[in-house]
Amino acid sequence: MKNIKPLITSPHMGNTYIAVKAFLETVGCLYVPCPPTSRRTIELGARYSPEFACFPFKVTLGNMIEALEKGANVILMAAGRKGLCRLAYYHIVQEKILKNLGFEFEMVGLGNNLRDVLFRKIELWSGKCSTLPGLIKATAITFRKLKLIRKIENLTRNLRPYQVERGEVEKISRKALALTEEAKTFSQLKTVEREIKRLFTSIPIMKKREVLKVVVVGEFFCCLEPAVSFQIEKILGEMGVLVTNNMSSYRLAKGFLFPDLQKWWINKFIVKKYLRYSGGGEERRTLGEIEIYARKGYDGVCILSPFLCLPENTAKTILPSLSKKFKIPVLSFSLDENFSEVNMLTRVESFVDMLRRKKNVSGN
Amino acid sequence: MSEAHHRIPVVGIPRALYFFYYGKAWEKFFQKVGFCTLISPPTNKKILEKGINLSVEELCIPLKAFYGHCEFLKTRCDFVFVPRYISVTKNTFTCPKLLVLPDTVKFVVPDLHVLSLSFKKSEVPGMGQFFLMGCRIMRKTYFSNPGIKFLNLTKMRQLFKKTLWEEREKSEIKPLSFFTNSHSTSSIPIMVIGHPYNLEDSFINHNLFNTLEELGLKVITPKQISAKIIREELKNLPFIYWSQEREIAASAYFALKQSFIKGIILVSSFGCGPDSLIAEQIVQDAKQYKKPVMQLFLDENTSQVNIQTRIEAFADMIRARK
Repeated sequence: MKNIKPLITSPHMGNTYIAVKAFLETVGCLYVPCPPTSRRTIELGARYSPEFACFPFKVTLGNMIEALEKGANVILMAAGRKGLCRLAYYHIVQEKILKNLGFEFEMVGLGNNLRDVLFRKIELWSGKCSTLPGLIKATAITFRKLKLIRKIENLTRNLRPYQVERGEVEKISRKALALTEEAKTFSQLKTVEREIKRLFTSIPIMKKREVLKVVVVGEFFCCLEPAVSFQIEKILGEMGVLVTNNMSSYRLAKGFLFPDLQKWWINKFIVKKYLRYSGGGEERRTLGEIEIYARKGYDGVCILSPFLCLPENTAKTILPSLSKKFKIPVLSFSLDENFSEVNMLTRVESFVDMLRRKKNVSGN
Repeated sequence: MSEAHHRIPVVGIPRALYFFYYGKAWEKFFQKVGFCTLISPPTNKKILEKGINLSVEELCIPLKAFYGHCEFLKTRCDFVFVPRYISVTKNTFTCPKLLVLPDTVKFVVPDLHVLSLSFKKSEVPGMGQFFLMGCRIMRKTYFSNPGIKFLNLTKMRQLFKKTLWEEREKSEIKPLSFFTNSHSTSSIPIMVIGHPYNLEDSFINHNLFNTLEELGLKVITPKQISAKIIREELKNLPFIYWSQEREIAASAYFALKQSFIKGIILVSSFGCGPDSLIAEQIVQDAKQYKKPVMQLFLDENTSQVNIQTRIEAFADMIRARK
């Protein structure tokens, strides 16, 4: 094990792997992304994980197995800073399951040990001395890329309902992400940013289309990873719905280093009347954003949460009264390995039809 | 108003969740302050069905039963006591679903007068909590006697502490040596691990303990294991940040190492978050120690026969191993 060069991997969460890759490669480590999340990943994960573990646990376990098959031997797993929700205990159980399956690897849970990872582990992995300026540069590039990813995702969401030809925006967005992944330095990133702006303005659009506005809230993994929700944002977008999703990996990463003011504001002034104390996850963001966007005049809310998610259940308990108070329809999905695409399509279609009738929008 | 002035207010305590940890102490405390207390009856079909109708379908069964108990108490008393245990020891938290109970219960059971105390880092609440509680009682009962007592904060806190310790000393638990010393061949000692609200509510677990005793198994529960053993077991484990889960994990690992315990039954309710991961960890490690472990899940569709069959099979398996 000592002689092999460490090959680092981390489970998928949307497009976040681009930023993780950028950080590790700037520092001088080898990184191999997991194969993209597919049906096989989810089946593998579900087979080896406990029955009632939440869905992100299963998907990330599947990702890890596939990456280990590819030859990775270090797994970086985001574990959260302190626990309440199950997230902070994921890596301990996952390590145990994978070791019992016979894999040899090192599991690193990123949480309170951030300092240890940055200054000691990275030195071991890269074989080089990690210096503070080097780390700062890598962090800056990572954040720049995260910001770019957020920009691309938001542009995609905003343009999707207006596109003339179906799939045009998807193509451009994939191209933009590839460009972001390739860029290595700040100057390259600057040109990429300009290029992305040009690419997205070149898409032919029909401005006149009447669209509905729906906000997607819920647990962050389900909001960010399109593979687990069968690309619900894309489906909604192509039906003529302008989707807003306030969650991004940029926001999560920033919240890891600095206090998240937006979150604080929601907790302090909006959700206080419903929930006095945090239930450990994103339930306060869910409730708060529903109220904010309902006041802004949005037509509907779509909640994505893993089956048996502890904090989201709290939100779901309070939801009916909130929905009644603001007269906003709510569509909620519990995602797990048995969740089928057809099920989702049927429900989304009827939901959108209902919204159209409510607002008298033709949809074309 | 005059009628309310003279009547002693009734505090209802739902017989669910934390009642099985601290229930007797709460009851004594409220009686000492000068309230009447009303404890809801043991869970029955009617209560559970009411709870199931009220709550989200994904919740665990003890929580559904809790909402049923609250609904039962709603019309029968002036206040319902729903405490908020945030953390019992330092750096740990209780289950995230139970932590928000005083907030969610208002939405599930509307028009419920909730009395709440927050417990943070200790089993005794802070003084501010008593002040808030006193204010709430006085507003409802038009400044009658028991509410005013709450303004003497230090005294209230001491009273609560004293009651808690008294009740703890009173509770009779057979020490573990009782099991190790008796060498009867007929009954096999096994360990049943789970939250007290699953183990002690005989409607939710369908008389699990009776069934076990009929089959000639002697049951040890986590309550019988001393705090010292639990503390030592926890040193070898990765840090577990759920307060109740610490006891469960430690006693499970203790049972894995002891040779006189022949098997372990893990009882958890369907959808219990912390249990799902901790139980998996125990099951994975049980392979090393070569000890039979059975996981038993409880939900509203579990039947007596279902449990009976599984336990019989488990008991036969243990006997065959001998």
